[in-house]
Amino acid sequence: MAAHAPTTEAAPAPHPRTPASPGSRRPPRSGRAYRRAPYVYIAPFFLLFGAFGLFPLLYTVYLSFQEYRLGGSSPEFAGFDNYAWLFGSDAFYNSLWKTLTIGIISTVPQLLFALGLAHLLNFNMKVRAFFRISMIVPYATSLVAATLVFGSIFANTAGGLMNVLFGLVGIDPVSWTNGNWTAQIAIAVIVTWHWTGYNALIYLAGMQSIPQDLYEAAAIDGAGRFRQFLHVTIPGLRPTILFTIVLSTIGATQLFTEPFLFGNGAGGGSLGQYQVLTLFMYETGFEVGRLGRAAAIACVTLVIVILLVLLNAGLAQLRTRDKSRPLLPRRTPTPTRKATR
Amino acid sequence: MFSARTRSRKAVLAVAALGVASLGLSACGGTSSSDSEPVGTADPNEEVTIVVDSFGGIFANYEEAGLLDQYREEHPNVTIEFSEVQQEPDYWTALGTKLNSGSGLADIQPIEISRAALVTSQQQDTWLDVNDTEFADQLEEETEAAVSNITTEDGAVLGFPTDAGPMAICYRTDKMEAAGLPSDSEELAAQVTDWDAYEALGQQYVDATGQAWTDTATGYYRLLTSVEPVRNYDEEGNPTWDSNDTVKPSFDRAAAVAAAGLTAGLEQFSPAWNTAMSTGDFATIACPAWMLGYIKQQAGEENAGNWSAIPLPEDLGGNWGGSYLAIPRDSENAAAAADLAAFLTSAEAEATEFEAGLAFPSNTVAQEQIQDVTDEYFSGAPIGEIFSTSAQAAPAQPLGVDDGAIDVALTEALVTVEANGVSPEEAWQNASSTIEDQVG
Repeated sequence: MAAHAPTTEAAPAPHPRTPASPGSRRPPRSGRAYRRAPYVYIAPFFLLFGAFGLFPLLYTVYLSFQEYRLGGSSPEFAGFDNYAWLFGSDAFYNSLWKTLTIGIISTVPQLLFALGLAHLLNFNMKVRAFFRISMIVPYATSLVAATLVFGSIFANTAGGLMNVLFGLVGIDPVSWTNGNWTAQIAIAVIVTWHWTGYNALIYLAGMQSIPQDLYEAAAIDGAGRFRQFLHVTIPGLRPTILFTIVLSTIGATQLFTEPFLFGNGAGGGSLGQYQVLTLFMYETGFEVGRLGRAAAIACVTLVIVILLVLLNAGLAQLRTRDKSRPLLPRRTPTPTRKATR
Repeated sequence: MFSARTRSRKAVLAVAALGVASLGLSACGGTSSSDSEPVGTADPNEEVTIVVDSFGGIFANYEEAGLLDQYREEHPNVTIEFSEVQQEPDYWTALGTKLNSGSGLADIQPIEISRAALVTSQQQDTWLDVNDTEFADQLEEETEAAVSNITTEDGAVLGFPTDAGPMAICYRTDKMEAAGLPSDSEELAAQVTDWDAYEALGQQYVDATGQAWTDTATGYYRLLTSVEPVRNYDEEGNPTWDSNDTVKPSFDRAAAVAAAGLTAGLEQFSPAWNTAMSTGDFATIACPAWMLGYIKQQAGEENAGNWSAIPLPEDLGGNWGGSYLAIPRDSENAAAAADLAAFLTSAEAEATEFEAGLAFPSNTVAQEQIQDVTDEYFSGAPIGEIFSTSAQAAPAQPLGVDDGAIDVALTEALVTVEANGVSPEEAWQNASSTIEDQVG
């Protein structure tokens, strides 16, 4: 009985050999089985993770040191050849640069729009539910379908919707996919469209957890809507903002569907105008057929994602830190601090 | 506290060991090579389902030509299930993944000619040798080039040749007429005496209409290289694309045509290119025999009679494309699959397919049967004669392992000349470094 009701404080310790310590709620008899139970409960997750997460990861690292071709022979050890090739390849640096530029021009506006939209949605207004739900519609749309629609909006011909609009204000048709920046901007627009509403809802949820009295206090102190936003909302949203920045950074580094479908292949434009890292990896692995090299790109991408996330999270921490606390811990802690430890 | 930590470390070790163990397992489970054994005759009474995984309309064409129905009628015990993707690169990627993982192959897997060198040098153990089947004799009817491309060093023939892609030039008769140029096939052919004359006519056309003369620089490049004795590789299988007399001169000529504004600036097989076939945004197109079916499909019935074809100038002949039906050695239905593949690539079947205007036979007996075929869609042009002549004059170009990657890099570079205003010289440099990067 005791084993099935471990939280029952009143349960007497039935076994005399191991006297229960005064604070322990654990019935001592059930020791090993009890301690094993949690591992059994979480085992399904870790087994699946092992099969579909950890194993592919380790196997990719292993492959990155092999010469291995698609549809060819079995892997042969190649040492650091794949990495040497990678760091000597212009296409790699190009894709790194494009990942960065597309990442910035899609993530920054996206998060700013999301913040603004969430702020507006946080007001009391009529049909609020409608506006809130409509926020999530782009996110719920199939990315493939959305990209194809945007592909025709940003068509190179004069008949493309964007070029028609440009024509109305007297701008010559733009050859969207061929230009360097035009192609990147078009892709950034798709990304921004798709993710803004999603981030706005996350911000909205964060805003609603900020206590209303803070706003009232700010209003009494004479702060207008905008100052309330700056001095109450933003600091209150700090953890949420951090979260979205981390997610967006990962998303930007792993951007694939939009440029892949926008350009009709992994080349990322005939000059590689929008060949981001993942496209470069796909092209190397599945179009050129060098799986070992593609694995090396994947490993480098993983390292880059980790570094970027750390960097961005660090920057955001710095930016929104509590101003009363020092940036670095003082070398000689004050006596009071020592006491609290 | 201490024991908990060791425990968790043990758990981590266990998980890591598991990962490494499965890693070793999958590394071992690679190819299983078996000695070649003759394949028996298909049992006419046993119920069998032949699964086909294909690309580019190969089996859709067989279906359309009525060949599959004919086979089903003669072999009531056979069920044929085929699935097809349009783009060969997508198909090849999927096929490569299946080969690497060692499972999932269908009973018949077509192979495109540009992959033939890689297949014969690296996948000898995967595919059935046609010589081990009872249909080895049928190979004697095929052209020498078609068979030699899919033959390994040891003399194994890894697939049944399906078709060939002899080159011609297709054009829009209505567009020619509007530009004041001859629209009749014979009259136009008389004016296209060599490539210079073809380009001069193009300049005339562009001046008259302001529209593009030919679809793409890449198509023209394909046309120019197809008639030369070698392309990217020499006879010994060494890459010579950067030094031989085919690639750079053809690249320069095609790039000059693009720079002069004679091309429509499209990318081949892109949606815009497909659309342009019906709208007539260009007047001429490099036209391997399989392009006839593609044009009909994209340009539609409303353009019947607006198209025609002429042979290449100077009695030249060239080839672009062609495929093979390959059968995995480990297939349980290898005998039945070989029977079907042999039927579909027989002289009779290949002739039927061309008469339906779908694909040009690689089978020489069939080539003789289709000499007199004309096509109403192409204004009654003598396509049988045009393509047969081209097929006979076509050189047997040696292939190489990385033909696909080299072709893609060069054609992409030509697109940048058309679409991005890159100078031909710079485009060549870009292509060279891309090839060096990917293949080297």
